[in-house]
Amino acid sequence: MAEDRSEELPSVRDIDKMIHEPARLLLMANLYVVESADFLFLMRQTGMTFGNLSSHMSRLEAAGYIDVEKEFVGKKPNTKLSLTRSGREAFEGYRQSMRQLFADGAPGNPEESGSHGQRS
Amino acid sequence: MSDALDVDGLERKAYHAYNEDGLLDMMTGFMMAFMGYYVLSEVDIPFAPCLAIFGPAVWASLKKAVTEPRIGQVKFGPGRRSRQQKAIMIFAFVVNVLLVLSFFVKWGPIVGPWRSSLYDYGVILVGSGVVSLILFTIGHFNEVPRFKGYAAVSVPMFIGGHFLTDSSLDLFQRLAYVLIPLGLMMLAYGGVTLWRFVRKYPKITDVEVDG
Repeated sequence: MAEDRSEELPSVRDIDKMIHEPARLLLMANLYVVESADFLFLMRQTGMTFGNLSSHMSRLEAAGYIDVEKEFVGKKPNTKLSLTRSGREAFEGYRQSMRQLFADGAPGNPEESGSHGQRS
Repeated sequence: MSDALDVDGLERKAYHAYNEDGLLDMMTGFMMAFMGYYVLSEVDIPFAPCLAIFGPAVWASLKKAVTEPRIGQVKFGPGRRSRQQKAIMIFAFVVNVLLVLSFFVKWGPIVGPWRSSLYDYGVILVGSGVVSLILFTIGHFNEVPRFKGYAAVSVPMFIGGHFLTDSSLDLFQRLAYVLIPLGLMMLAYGGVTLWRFVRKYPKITDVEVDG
């Protein structure tokens, strides 16, 4: 029997789609664990290409989640990125909702829900 | 996605990548080998002040010249910095204890069999108890497992040094005979690690990374 579980899982609707996209999630997570990092460091850590990282960086900056600072180190341009306070809070909120969503005992867990998805 | 949510793992990965360059091994190895050479050759230069003045500057320049153009710049969080500060404090504490002990052993009122044992087994006691401990501490707090390996290798080296070096020599000269090969080994392994790092992370042109 198919049942509408959307009301049982309000957190699914609350998930921040700006962060939920895998590339942006990786970028946010990498910035969450440091104070700041430059463009090259993030390219190395995430494995993203220049164009891909640049486009996601612009979206997150527009959402107010990251702070982008362009400066010159000697004669070389350097782009430094860091999470803003709201970006940090949004990422923590995202982690919290994902934890709740996948927590043990959540509806749909085969071991908790009896007849649904029992192993043969 | 689970990788991105394991923030501790990500922080460690970022930190390891930044310290994968072998420079810490090379710097530490060079200092140990030079310290050994300094003791044996009795060169009259103030080693400790030179190290304190030029060490951090040389370290920062090497990171800027070798590591950052390849892997980028990063500033780690306060948790990581406090771990490093702890390592520095333990290092300073051990060095100070060593200095005070050497002062008392050489000029202090300590006499009798305790003092002569300290001299007789000094290569093992000071080597394994201080040098190996310092290497282990660096490895533990900086999360560079290679240093725990160096610490493990250094113990049999100091024991071997105790039996192989001339017992009529001064304690520091006997220690120097172990410090030089140990330092050179670290320098060489650091060089290999650096070579791997340079191959793994070739330089990227400015046009590609100016964001």
